Amino acid sequence: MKRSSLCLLALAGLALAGLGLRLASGRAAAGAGGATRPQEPADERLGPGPEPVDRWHPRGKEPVTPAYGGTLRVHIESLPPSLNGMLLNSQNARNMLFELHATLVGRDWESWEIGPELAERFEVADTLVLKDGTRRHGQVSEEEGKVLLTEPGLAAPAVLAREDVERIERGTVITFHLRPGVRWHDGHPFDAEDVLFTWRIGANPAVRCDWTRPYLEKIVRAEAPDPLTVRFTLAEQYFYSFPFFADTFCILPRHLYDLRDPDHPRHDPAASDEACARAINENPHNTEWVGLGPYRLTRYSSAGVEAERFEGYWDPADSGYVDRIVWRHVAGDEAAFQALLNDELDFTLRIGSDQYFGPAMQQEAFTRRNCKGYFYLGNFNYVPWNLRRPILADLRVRKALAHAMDMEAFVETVAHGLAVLPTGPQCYFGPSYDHGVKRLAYDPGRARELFGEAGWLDRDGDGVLDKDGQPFQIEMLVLSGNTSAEVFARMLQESLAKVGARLVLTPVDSATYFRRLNERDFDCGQSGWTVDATENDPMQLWHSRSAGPGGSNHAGVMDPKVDALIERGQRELDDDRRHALWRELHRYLHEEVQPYLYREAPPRKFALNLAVRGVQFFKVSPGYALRRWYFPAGTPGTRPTRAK
Amino acid sequence: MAYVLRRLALVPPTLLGITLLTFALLHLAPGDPADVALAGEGQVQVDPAALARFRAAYLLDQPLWRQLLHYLGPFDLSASGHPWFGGTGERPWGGLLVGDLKSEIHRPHVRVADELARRLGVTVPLAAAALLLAYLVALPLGILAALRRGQAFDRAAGALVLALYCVPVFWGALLLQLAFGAGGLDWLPVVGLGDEGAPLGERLARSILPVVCLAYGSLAYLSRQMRAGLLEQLSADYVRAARARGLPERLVVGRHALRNALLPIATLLAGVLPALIGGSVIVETVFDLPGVGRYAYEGLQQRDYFIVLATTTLGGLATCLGMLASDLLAAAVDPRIRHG
Repeated sequence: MKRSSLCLLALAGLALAGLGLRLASGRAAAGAGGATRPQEPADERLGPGPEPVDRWHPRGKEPVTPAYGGTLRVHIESLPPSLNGMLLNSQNARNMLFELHATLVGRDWESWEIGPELAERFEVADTLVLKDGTRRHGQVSEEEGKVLLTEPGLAAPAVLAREDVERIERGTVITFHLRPGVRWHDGHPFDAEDVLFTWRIGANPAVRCDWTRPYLEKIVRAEAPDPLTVRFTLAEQYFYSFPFFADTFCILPRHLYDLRDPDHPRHDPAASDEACARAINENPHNTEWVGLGPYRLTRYSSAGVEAERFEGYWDPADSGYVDRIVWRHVAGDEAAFQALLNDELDFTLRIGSDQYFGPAMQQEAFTRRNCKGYFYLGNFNYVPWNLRRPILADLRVRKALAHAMDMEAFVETVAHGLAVLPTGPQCYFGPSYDHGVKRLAYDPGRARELFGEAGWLDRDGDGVLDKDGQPFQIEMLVLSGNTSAEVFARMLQESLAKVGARLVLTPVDSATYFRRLNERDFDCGQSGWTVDATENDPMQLWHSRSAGPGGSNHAGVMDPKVDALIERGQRELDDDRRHALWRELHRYLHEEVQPYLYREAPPRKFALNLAVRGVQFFKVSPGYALRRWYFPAGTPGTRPTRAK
Repeated sequence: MAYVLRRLALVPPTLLGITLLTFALLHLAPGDPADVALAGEGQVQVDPAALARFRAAYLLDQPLWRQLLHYLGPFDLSASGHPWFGGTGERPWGGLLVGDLKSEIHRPHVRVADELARRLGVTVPLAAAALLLAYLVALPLGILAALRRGQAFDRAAGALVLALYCVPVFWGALLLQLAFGAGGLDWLPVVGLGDEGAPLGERLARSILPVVCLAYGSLAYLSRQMRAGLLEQLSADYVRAARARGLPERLVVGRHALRNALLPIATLLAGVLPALIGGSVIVETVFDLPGVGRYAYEGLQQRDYFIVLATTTLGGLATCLGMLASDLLAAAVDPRIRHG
């Protein structure tokens, strides 16, 4: 009896002692980790250029021989409900499609130039809109009051008088010449009909391609002169018309999505539009994806997505090294980290700043198999001010709010200093960002002055600014569970209190947050945008047409100069001139509008298995190319590469 | 038999009540699936027309009673539903009454019933193992503690199970991960159930920590109940009489007191079973197990009404069946109930 009691007590004691020791050692390590800042590489380069390979690997400079084979296990924190890029705008889905699918044209990860992919070549022509309303297409040039039009198939240009021409729409006819012999992952040939079908889904309102529909609707005509040629005609010139085919246009296999296609398993030539839409919206291939990329999906389940190398890929030189890629769905970040330690994951991007700089990633259990690092992609966080609210309508008030917050202290607190502080909406590292624009410095005195100029003074001596008998009080919506948003909200609240402004924090869930944002029922909140490094159309964020319900101009900017700059930029096809317009817009928004209080643009922090080599990170989405990663020769389960 | 049938007849109204309550709570909560589907990532411009189309497709723009009837069935009230309700007649029947749990809102080609069946394949074996483990450990522990009342063993067991009872499941799960994972003793895999074709041994190894996590809260509860029940019986007159007749203590406890003390323990099954399903939400999330609990959690995150309704209905069904099983078990071990 006594022995069993003692055993129980001993067991309990051991358990508690073990936990105590563990927690004590954890604290000690935390102290050590917090005291020493790791050595980080030199400044990030702005703009395109070559990216180093294995930059973060401790033996990255030692040469290794690539080999074929192995399985790459990549963490995803949420499983996209669909991989159909026309229906869903999901970052995880896009990252997967990057390997599972291909686009007509593709962006070079380092030069950022757009080049051939499924289309082996392409031509861009113009539209001539004549005063009698007719439209003619071809290469248009102007000389001495005349307009020369070289139409397709004709050697000699037609000469038109300038006064007969209403306008020239440049870059509005795009012809893609598809590669012959390309096959879908199920073996069906890929041709122009697949491309045309994908465009046509936008015309069926029951198809849930709402996020791509605005782009599809800009295309007024599409035709396939032959099975390997597709020609798109746009209504008006627009700088994003061509990049759309590289970044957004996700070609669907017509034989699996179009009920009216003779090769469809449930072929029905008389299928209604509703039935056709259902066949797209509810298509099992939205998850059981059949694509054109170097990897073929083999399994989609709640555990994640698995793919194997597609031996029939049209570009063997770029068909990937590893045999399998597993995007493993692990919902909890802590669980993902444990999986990494346990050698069940090779790569995760779900690393927080505290974890990155803390003891967890310095312990031997982590470093013996993994390394860590970061790379910048075009994402930033911000506080949108609702300019429709009278209390926030005055520019001086918004500038005062910016001066009141010590953003450097915030970045030091939540990101250990590892983030850049942007001042505008374009990617900090891209050509459309104006680095001459400087942040409004932390200056509580200046904040008080500006508040005073706007009529906000502490007249009754209660420590809170007031005007017309009303205290200065605004509400901030804070996403529950978002630690950095909560920290920022509290810091902003304290900072504003110091200058006499009251900030009320309202925790909300994400659905409520976005609903209130879209219904314009907010003073301020905290959101994030992911923007392309190259450039982004500011229409969505700043044009007055996007200020209505549902639009992304949450701040409610209604400024004729902003609208004019955007409209000019949208029509400007010369990259340099357009980037200059975006920079001008950036400066103007900063100086004259201040619609956002920009928070930090943090890098994506990652943990990576040391066995994986050939790793590069890019500033264009998705930031890395799994098809370039490999396990070096000699790794169990690998085989030598064929001559490349 | 009549008793069982009477009890079974109570299941449908109970489930209906649970469904009504869940339905009401879901609709009282701010936000709806359209908010998540069209603005979930916060990156896209939300077209009001698209929002309206989405809401119309799922009847979210309809009065609540109509949405409820659509979910309950047997008539499908959507645009392609029964012609009596203005539909095209393409899908006249649907809803809970005809065993249709609808399709997921965000993956319309996935039937909730099919996905639920897949997920049950993960949750049920874990819950069963946890239940078995809890009873296997709790009963001897409770009996020994009762027989050694007031002694060191009783006090130690009491302290231990109280400590376990106080440890929240999510914290306990994280501690177990830290202790047994690669960052600690490196004895066990701590995430997931392994690949589909993983050997049985590996899957068992991966199940150990989730099962322990699911079991330890119930273990404390059951062992204390066992101890209290046995102590109550040991102080009863019939036990005193048995001892007075000179029966050996082994028989007094084993044949008389213990059998009566097991009665409340059997009835506790009703409470333990749904608690295991409920606990699986946290355990499956922490250990990354694709079971019903995580399905319910994902459904809530996405505001997928059909997933949430299906999983809560399933939880309700588990509770009803657990209570029924408890009653039958109680009748089996207690002749007074059997003849009553």
